[in-house]
Amino acid sequence: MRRPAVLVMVLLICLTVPSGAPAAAGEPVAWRAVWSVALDAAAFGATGPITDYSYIVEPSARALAVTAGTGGIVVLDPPTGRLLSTIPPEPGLAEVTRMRFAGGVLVALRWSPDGRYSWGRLTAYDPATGRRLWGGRAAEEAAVSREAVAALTPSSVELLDAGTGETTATMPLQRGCTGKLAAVADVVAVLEICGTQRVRLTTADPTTGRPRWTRDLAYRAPRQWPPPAEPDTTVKAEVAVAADGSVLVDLADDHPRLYAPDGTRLPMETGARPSWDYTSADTSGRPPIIALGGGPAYTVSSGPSGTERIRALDAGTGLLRWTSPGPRTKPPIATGGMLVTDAGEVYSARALDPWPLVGRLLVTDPATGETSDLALPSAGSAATLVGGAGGLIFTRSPPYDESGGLKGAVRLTAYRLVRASLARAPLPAWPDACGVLTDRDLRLLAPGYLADPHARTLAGVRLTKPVGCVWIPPADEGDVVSVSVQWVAPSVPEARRLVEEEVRYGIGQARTGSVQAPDGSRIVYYEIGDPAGTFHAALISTGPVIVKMTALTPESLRHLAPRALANLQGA
Amino acid sequence: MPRARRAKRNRRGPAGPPPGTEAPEEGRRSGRALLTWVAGILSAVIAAVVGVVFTGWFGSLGPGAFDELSGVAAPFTVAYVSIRDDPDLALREPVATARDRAILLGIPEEGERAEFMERHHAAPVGNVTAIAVLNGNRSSLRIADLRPRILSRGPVSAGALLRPAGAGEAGTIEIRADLDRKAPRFMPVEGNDKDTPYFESQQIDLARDERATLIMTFTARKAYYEFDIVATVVTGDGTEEVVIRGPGDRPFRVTGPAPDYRAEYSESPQGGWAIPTPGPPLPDTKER
Repeated sequence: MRRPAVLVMVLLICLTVPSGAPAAAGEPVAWRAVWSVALDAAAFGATGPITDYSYIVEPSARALAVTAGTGGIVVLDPPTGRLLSTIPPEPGLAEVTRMRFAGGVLVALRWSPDGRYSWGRLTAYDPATGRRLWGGRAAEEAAVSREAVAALTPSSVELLDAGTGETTATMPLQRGCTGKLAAVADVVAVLEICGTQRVRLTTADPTTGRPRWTRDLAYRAPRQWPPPAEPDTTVKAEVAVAADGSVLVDLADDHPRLYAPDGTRLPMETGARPSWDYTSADTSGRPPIIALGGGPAYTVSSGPSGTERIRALDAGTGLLRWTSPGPRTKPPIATGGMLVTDAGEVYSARALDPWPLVGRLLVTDPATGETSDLALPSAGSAATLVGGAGGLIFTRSPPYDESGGLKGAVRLTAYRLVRASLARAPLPAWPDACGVLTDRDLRLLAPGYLADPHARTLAGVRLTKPVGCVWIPPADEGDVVSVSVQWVAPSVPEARRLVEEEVRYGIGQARTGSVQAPDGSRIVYYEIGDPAGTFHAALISTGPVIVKMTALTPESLRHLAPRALANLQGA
Repeated sequence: MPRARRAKRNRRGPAGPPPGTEAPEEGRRSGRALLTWVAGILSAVIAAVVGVVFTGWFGSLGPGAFDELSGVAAPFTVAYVSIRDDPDLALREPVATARDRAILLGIPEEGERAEFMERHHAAPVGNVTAIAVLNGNRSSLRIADLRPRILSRGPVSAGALLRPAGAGEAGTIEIRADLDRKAPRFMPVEGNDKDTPYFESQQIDLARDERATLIMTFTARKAYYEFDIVATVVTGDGTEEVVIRGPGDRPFRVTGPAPDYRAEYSESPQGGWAIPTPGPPLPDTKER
């Protein structure tokens, strides 16, 4: 096996907050980077580049497993980012599609490259050493409990001993029916789906397979006029279990079902859509239900606008305890006494977005639902939230080919929440976006441009000056120019680091040119593709200020971006 | 009367299934569990009353959202209504003021854009497809008929044409109502029943808390129309009419195509609308 090139790049002490702030008391005020590690394609035993979507990160308190493309796995120590072990690809099997920790055992599901889609093999490892414990068990999906692995096959759910891989019990599926499964420490939940005729939910002991309770679910197919040309032949069912044994079942029929650990049905609103995470391999499908201290919390979107919310219930009474702004992309992560989710993009217009430059994470207090919106000390393009464990939050960058030969390097960073009894530091002064270009500058294109200011809110605070500005041309045929103040960093080196990240991960191959001034100020020109066409942008940075300018034509930008930089330097 | 119905749009019942729903699946419950369960349902009702449950949801409803709880519920409510937004849009008047130009060409906030489209009576050109999700409020009801009701008619819109990127990918249409006809009805587009109004043979039965999705296409060639949809509903108490209005509790709109528009705009990748005429002083010839 090749020695993987694992580069522990930087141990960061981050800059945004005073160090020495109390660790566990007070209000959430900031994210502090704890470690950051780059793993290149070779670390996974890959010979070619790896695509962004093939990375999977599975965290646990004692090990953080990362895989990509080829089936090789790298295991890191969560508190330090130190390499614990590497696991080579499994001969005859393709890439890893799921990783789970069953107690202290890492279980990986890999595709069989025999053309039978959704049919794979399970292999288990000791994450501390990388030693292979067992393998070869067939499964098309897998879920894990404290000591057992539930493997879904076409005819049954096999319950395996996590340490040996031996079958401890079999839960057969009726002929012609398909299964879905989910598991937590001491519950496995199995949905048996028989066409559109019958859906049965069974919760069972994950070692013995002995059922705890079962429910036959009355499925009512969604009704539509005119009826769909090809009616569904099976129920699109999903099941998830929270750590306390609460179960969420969704048959995509406007009546999601929520059960307390003892099988009591809890109320859920008609038409609510649980936020299933279909989007990314990164999270290995974060479930839309989690256990909090006092009961389950689930994430749903409801209403015509699809507003997403986290709703926490009281386990005893089913009463709603709190509801809070929910995930815009994926269900939240529970770790270290907090719920964490991506803030997502708030604005939808394209020239002024995404905004701001830095990534943001929402932190929700599981006791009250109170939510804080906190900036990461990292460009949003460089940080996708991939998990949390032991009070740390992990983000991943897109893969990046460094010119020096590190191919497909992906950067993992761990952050810790900083709490303080002090209020958050006030934002630095942001320049007025409409002051970045003057009437005289715009006259280079045509006389008579009008500025249209855009105000914005950051973490609930309305910024005093407009941070976006759109210049409307005098004639409809003219070029529309926009300026967006993307971020004002607390220091100049911090601003340079953020620009570097954005150029690498956000702009990447779209870069068309750049200019650097002796004082470190920069203009980076690039193109932005959109279904409606391509437009042109420049990232302009000077001192702590980072500005994005856009126009429909590159000529407008080449005229105006140097003017904007000069105006910002003079301000 | 439209106003009376209007308040009932976009409203949903209290959370949770009513007692009895899926009773067979629940099996035998212990007394405590049953109490817990009933308490849960009761709590959801209480929560709905105090308006905590669906803060965001109720926020969009405005006054009248609680009519149902005061006992004046319509036989069904519209849980959701939208229009498919693929076709070209026509505005009735050209865009002239500085503010309107900034909204059209620039990057307005979502609310500003919607208000602009409303003020200019923006109407899809040629056809519009409405999607409505109905929620039954009676133990049983039958929708015996559905038909468009024209509220106003005018010459086709020719003020400005807005062409979204990716327009023209219309899905299959199975039933449609031609608003140019004297008494427009939903008719199958193809098949043996082409001359029989669709909802004469397809009746929609809804139980309490049951939902149904209607996909309705309206076409226009000769004029500009504002309209709503009238449902004839049969319940144990007799026959009632319920009006389905468009998003934002406004009429649906559609216009026939104009031979000529005062101006034509394409969707700009930057976010607004632009006249796609490359040339001096903007010599960009990049294909868009």
